[in-house]
Amino acid sequence: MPDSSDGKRFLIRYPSQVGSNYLAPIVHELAHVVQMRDAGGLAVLNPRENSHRIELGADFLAGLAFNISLGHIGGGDFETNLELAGSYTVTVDDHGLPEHRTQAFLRGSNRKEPYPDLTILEAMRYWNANDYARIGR
Amino acid sequence: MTTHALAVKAIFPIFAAFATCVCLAADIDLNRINACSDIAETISSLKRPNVRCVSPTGAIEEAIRDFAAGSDVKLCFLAHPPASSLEGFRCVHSTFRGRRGIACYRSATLDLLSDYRSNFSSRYSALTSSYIEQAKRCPGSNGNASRGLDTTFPPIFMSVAEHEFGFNVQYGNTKPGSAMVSHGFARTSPAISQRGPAAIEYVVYGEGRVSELAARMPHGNWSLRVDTSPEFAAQFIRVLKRQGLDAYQAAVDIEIQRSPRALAIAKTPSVPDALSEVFVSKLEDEGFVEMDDEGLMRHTGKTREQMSNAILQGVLFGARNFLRGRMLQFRLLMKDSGIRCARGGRGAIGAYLFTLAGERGVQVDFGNFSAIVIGFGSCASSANSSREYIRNLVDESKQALLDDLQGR
Repeated sequence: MPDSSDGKRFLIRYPSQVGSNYLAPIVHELAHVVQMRDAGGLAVLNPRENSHRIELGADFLAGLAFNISLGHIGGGDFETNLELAGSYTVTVDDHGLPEHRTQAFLRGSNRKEPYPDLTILEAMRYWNANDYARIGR
Repeated sequence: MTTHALAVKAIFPIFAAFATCVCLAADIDLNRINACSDIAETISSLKRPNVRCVSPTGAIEEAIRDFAAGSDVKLCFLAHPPASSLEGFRCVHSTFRGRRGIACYRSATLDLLSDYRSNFSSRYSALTSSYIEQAKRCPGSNGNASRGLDTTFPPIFMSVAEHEFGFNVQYGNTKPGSAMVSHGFARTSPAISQRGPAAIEYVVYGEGRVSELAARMPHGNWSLRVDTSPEFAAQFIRVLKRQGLDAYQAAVDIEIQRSPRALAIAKTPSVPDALSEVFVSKLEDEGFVEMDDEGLMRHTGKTREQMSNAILQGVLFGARNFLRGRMLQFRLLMKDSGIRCARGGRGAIGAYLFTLAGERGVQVDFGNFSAIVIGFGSCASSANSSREYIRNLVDESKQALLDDLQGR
């Protein structure tokens, strides 16, 4: 979850007790940096109101990252990673249903049309304007 | 009843239409997609001819049988499950154009489904993760295993239930794989739960790669998926033939999306409605007459709204989510004169037009337009030129639709 930023530095919190399978969660957290930079900062993203959209967007971007440059490592542990499991209970810090997190990640990692023709930022905006709305709650 | 009236009435039935066991304190046994040897045995059994088929039993099997009737799907309800670990499950073997599968199910309870959701984080999250990881490590798996989505819900159960939660693992040397095993839980339709279980647990073994949707084609500001395959309207023809009505059809379905880089385009007025007007105009030039509300009521005894509801009820229970509350609108035009095959009331041609609005909140989705032109009676015959007439009519109208879209 993005924590704070001053526009140049970003603080991403991540539980330090997680000792293994940390790649997918870290890529997810770094995706928040992409989101914040594109939006112009954390405040613009408005995580209090848009937690669900932001988190699923980061799952999508994480999938895209595995497709583009981390494929040789594999993103297979994304949905079995307990830090990324999702929940059926709606909370303030809503990360989405388990199925929705899987769906978002797979949309990125499969990178099917139209995503191969889009840059990462274009892909993120396309996701926000289209595929996110296709995932209900 | 004239061929014309039969053609109008025909619309109704169409739409009325364990490696290591991961076990929980509750009754959800996560021991199916990780049962490596059972999976190997069952997938291999798919290739063997069926020994003995039995009659379908109960509401679920009868509904599955009815839905497949007249289609290319061949079913064999099995006397016994293919693996001992499936004791207590009822199974059906299916073949569809070279793809084979075994689908097994047993009753489940709604309490089980709610328990899973309510206690996911505290009890099930770690177990399901472990379950998926175990499935990936089975010999023969291509390493792809994941949670099931509503889009991966087994089609064989779509007429009786809808996805609740599940898991898939793929097999084969390729990605995507050449076989898939799915295990999950589903809520049954009201029609089933009235005289059967409220929920089911299923295990489906499927062999053969599922063909993907046709590729989109760029077209001006649009990205289109155009389908003119006979499969598209096959359900129509099956129902008509079951009624003993000779029918021949040509169809076109256009899924309309704005190109990702095209400038913003307003969704109103509706593009599918505009395409419908273009198609109607072509048909009217050919002497087709649109049936108004009064005509529908006279021929069918139902209002347009009742017919729309009948259409919605005809959508497979497990696929309703794909409509996302959107209403399918339809128009019906008939031609029963001015063409040789219609002389003496021996035949007629009907055109069924359907529009579906784009999904709200999805900027690029502008919806669907479909048209099915059907020759009935003598107008379905290969002995005259009516089939060619129907094909040409749909081809020319499709081109008019594409021309219209090019200018938008």
